[in-house]
Amino acid sequence: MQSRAPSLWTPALIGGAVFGFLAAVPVVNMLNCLCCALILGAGFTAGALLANASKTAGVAFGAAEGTKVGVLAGLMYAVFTSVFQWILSFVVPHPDPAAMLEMIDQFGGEIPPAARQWIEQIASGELSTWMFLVGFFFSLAFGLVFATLGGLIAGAAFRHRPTPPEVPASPPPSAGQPPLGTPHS
Amino acid sequence: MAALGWGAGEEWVRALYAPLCHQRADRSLALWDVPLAVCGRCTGAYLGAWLGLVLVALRGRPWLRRGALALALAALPNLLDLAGGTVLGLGLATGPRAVVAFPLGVVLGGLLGDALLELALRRSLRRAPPQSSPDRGMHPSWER
Repeated sequence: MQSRAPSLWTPALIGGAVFGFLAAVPVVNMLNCLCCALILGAGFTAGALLANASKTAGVAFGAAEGTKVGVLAGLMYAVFTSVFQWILSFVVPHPDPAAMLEMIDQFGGEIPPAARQWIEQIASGELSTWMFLVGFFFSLAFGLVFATLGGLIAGAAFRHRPTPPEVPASPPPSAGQPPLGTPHS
Repeated sequence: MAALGWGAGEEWVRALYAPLCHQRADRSLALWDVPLAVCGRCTGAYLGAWLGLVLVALRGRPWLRRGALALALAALPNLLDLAGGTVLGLGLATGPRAVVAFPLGVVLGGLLGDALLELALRRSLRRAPPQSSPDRGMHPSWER
């Protein structure tokens, strides 16, 4: 009987949603400074979940399946992290633009006037729709690359192939009959 | 690049790695007194990943058995350092941090190379005559 391959969407949704949420949380999202660890984690987790489901279903799991689920997890990551960031922007108060610029002045020195205006607009929430789209684009670009890498790594780490079904032993040839393949004289 | 006087090249490299690393100079290894474009942990991980990929390329087949276990073992010291640094303020110095990240990079690079090899082999099997690809699946050397 042919086993049915498990859906790619469920693990991709779980990986993308969990890590997308973590990437939207202000301090936790610093983990992405570690070679995009959260995005890699989304693809890797999706791959691990699919490997588990494939094992249960008796279906092979390898790099190709890991890649596919990684791409989907990257897509889900971008959607979920953008939505969670948008929701959190209502909960977490906007920073004071003056304090933000003062802090940047302390660290960096000169800021071009255009950049200063840009920061003020971002901090005041004027550019929220624009920022949402830009944020989504960057999350998608990075998600597609790094979650795919995570899925690939999971494909290698959790690779397995189903054990072939037991083939019943063929009965021994009867005394009067020559074995199959014996040329007739 | 900065040490060699290639200022523009240095800026490009730093900009390329900016989304991937905090690039704090006090947490980066230095080459000829110039901090590298990524922190110590990332440097160790990248060097390790490079070695892992080279090992796969040299052998032409996977060298890592029990990849999930190896990954967990290599990640553990990094997670402990990360937790110690953020929660207790007892993180490792830059050099030891790079050393701790190196094995994780080797395992990640090895697994990535292994996966890329498998994809390449599948592709070549798909192009080969049907009798040479009994299950269109994995090479026997990848059986665990």
